[in-house]
Amino acid sequence: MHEDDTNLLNSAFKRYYFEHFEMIQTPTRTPEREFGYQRFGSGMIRHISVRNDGELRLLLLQNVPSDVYCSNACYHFPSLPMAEKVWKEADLIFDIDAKDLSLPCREEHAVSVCSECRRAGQGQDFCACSSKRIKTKSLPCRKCMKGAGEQVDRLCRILTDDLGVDEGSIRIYFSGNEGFHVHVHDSQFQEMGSRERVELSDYVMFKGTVPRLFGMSQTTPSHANFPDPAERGWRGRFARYVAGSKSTRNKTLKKLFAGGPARFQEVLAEASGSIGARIDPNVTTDIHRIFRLPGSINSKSGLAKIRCENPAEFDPYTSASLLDDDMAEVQADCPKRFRLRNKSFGPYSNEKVNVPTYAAVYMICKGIARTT
Amino acid sequence: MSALLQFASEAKKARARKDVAGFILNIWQAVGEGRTEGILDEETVEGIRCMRHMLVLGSGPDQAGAELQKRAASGEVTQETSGRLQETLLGRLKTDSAGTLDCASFGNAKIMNGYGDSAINQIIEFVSRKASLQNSTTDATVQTGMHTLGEKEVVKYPFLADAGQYLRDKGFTLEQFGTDPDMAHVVRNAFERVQVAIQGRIYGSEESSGEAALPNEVFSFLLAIVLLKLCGNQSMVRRFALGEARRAEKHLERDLADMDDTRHRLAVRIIDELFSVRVRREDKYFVIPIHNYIQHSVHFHEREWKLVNRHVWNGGVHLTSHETVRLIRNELVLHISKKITGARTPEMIPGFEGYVKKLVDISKQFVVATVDTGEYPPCIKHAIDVLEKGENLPHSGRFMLATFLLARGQSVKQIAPLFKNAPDYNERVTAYQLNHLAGSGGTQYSCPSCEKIRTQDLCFAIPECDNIISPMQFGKRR
Repeated sequence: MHEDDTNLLNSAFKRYYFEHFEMIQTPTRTPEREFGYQRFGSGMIRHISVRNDGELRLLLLQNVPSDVYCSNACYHFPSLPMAEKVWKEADLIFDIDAKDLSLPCREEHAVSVCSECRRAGQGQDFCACSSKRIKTKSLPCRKCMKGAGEQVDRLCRILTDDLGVDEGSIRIYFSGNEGFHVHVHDSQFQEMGSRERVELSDYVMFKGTVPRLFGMSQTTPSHANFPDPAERGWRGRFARYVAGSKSTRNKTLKKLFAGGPARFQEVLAEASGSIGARIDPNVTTDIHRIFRLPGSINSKSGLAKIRCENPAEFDPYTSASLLDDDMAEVQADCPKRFRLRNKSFGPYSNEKVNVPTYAAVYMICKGIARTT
Repeated sequence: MSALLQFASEAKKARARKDVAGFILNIWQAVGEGRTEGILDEETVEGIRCMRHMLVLGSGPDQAGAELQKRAASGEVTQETSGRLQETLLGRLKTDSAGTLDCASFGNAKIMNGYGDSAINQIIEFVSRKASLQNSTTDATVQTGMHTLGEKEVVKYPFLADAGQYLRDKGFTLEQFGTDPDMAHVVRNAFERVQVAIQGRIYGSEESSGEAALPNEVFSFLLAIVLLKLCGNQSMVRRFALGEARRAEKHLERDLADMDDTRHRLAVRIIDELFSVRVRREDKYFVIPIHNYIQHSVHFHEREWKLVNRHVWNGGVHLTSHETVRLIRNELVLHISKKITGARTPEMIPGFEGYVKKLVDISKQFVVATVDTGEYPPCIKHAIDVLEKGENLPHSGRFMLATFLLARGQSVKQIAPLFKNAPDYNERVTAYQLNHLAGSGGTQYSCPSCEKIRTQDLCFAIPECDNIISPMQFGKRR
C-alpha cells in the first residue's frame, strides 16, 4: 500500500478509536488474555498483556493499528512466549465466511486487481499490462451476508439443542469483512484442548459420519433402523433432510438403502454440505489463536467487527460502517456499484472522485482506489 | 481424614485442568491448616511455601529464597532442607527462565507440579496406610483408600485392593504359596490367569461358587502380578492389564445397568473417582457430559466413537452401559498396569520357577519385526503434486508436508525447493518457517494425525493406508 493511502487510513482509524472507544468491548478476564495488533505495512506484534480498558485505549491511540486481536484463551502469563504462557482455558469460537459458501452471486461482485499496474477488472486471468499477478477482491452483496447469516442460525441451533450451550453464552459478531464470528463463553468446553475441539467442529459440520448410525450396515442394511424424523440430534435432522414428506418416505428410503453403504456414504457427504454448519474448522480447533477484537476495524474493508443479534437480517453496510463522513478525494477504479450507509457508489472508471471517508477507506482497503 | 483427601482430590482436579495456581493453593490450604503435620516431609512443605510465595504474593524467586533463609536462620527449617531447596528450586528457576528471573516461567510450573505431586502422593499414601490399619480387624472388607469394598466386589475389581495388605490381613506370606502343597493350586490358577489374559481371552471368575472360593480369586490376581514381576516382560504386563480390564469391564457393565441401586452406585463411583467420568442414568441411556466423553473418545480410532456418530442432545452423550464402560477401557488398562509397574519385584520364590520359565517362553512370541517400504502416503503425494503443478496448497497442507518430511529425516535445505512453485513463494519466509517447524523456536512440530488431516480435507486414503492413525506409519508392515 502506498504511503499516502496509509496516511488516509491511519487518520480515519485513529479518529474512530478516539471517538468510538465505547464500541471496543474488552473481553471478560482482560488481564489473562493475550493481545496483538498489526500496523499498515508491518508484521504482527503479539504477546501483549493489557490490564483494563484504559490501557487498551492507550495502546490503540498510540499505535493506530490496522487490525487488533485478542486471544480466545486465558493464560497465567499472557505476555510470555507461547510455550511459557501456561494455558488455562479458551472460549469456543467459530468463523463463518461467505467466501467458503461458493454462492452463485460470488462471480458477479468479484473484482480482479492487477498487482503490477493496480488496474481493476472483472474475472480476467491476466491484465491489459500483460501481468499475470492478479488478486481477486470481493465486494460481498446482501445475498452473501444472508447466506452466511443462515449458517450462523444453523450453527446456533446445533449449539443450543445438541451441545447444550446456554443461549446467553453465545455472542454473534459481524467479522468486519465477509462473515460472522461466533463466540461461546462459559460453556462446558472451555478447558478442552485442540484435538478435542476437532470433535466439536466435525460435529457441527456433520462430518465423519458412518452409515451405521442411520441403520445402514454392511451385513444387515435395514431401513427399519432408519431414524424417525422427530428424533433429536443429527439422526433426526438427517432423516428430515433425506426422507422428505411422509407420503414418499418409504419409497425414498428403499431407494437410499438399495444403493448400499458406499452410496449411503456419498449421501452423507452431500448432506454435510446442506445441513452441516459451514464453519472454518481451523479457527475452532485453534486454542492459542488471537482473534479479531470486537469493536475494532477490519483493514480488509474498513468496516468494524460488531455485535449482531439477528445475522440473517443483518446489513453490515449500514450498521458496521462507522468511520467519519468527511469528504475525501481518491482515484477510484471500481467496475462495480456498491452501497454503504444507504448511499450508492460507483462504478468508477479510473477517475478522481470525492466521496465520504468511509467509502474512500472501503475502496482503498479493497485495492480499488488510491489517494490522489 | 476425609477432609484431607478432599484437598488432595481437588488439587488433583486442578492439576488436570492445568491450573497450576489452583493446584498449589489447594495443597497450601491443607498445609496452612496444620492438617499435614507428620504427613508431608519438610522439603515438600517448604517447596509448596516458596511456590505459594511467588505465585500469590507475586514475588521473585530471590525474595522467596530470602524468606527461606530467614526461616532457616530462626531454626524453623533445617539448614539442610533450606540448602537443598535453594539449589534445586532457585537454581533451576534461574536457568529455566534464561536469566529473566520471572517466577512465571514454564519451567517453574514444572517444579511446582513436582512438589505438588509429591505432596498429594504422601497424603494419599498416609490416608490409605492409616485406613488399612483400622480395617485389619474386619476381614470381610478391604479398604482401598477410596471405597470400603465387600469381598465380592474385590473379586470383581481386584485392582482396587491394596494387594500386599490383603495378603498380610489374611495371614499369608508369598513363600507359603510356593512351598505349601495345599496352596499349589492357587499358584496354578494365577499362572492360568496370566496365560488366559495374554492370549486375549477373559478369565472366568467364580464369584458364584461359594464364599470359600472368594479369597482364592483375589489371591490368584495377586500372585499373577508376582509372576509377571518375576518375568519382567513389559509387553506381557500390558497384555495382562488389557485382559484384566476387559474382565472388569464385564462386571462394571452389569453393575452399571443393575436396577439394584447399591451396585449401580458403586459402578458410578468407580467410574467417577478412578476416571473422572460423571455418568447419569436417564431412561434406557447412560448420559455423560460431552467434554467428559470427548476426553476419552479421542483416543479411539474407530469412527463410531466420533461425537458426530453419537446420540447427542442437551449437552450430553447418550450411551448404553456397554459403551459407557468401553469408553474407559484405556484408562482401566493404564490403572492396572500402573498398579503392576509400581509393585515391588520380589526375590524368586521357591516353587514359582517353573511357571516363570513357562511365561518367559511365551513372551518370546510377542516380538514383532517391522519392515519399512519407504513409500510416501497418498496425502503427502497429493501435497507434493499440488505444489509441483504450481497450485496453491493451503497452510495446513504445507504444515503437514513439511513436518512429515522433517520427521522422515530430511533437512530444511532438502525440503525448501519443494515450495518454489507456490504462488506466494518467498525464499526467506519459507526457510524461516521450515526452521521454525524443525524446532528453532524451541518446539519441534510433529506431523498431524490422519484424523486432523481428514478434518482439513487433505486425506486421500487408499487401501494401503490400512487404518493407520498417522501418515508416519504408512508403509511400515509387521
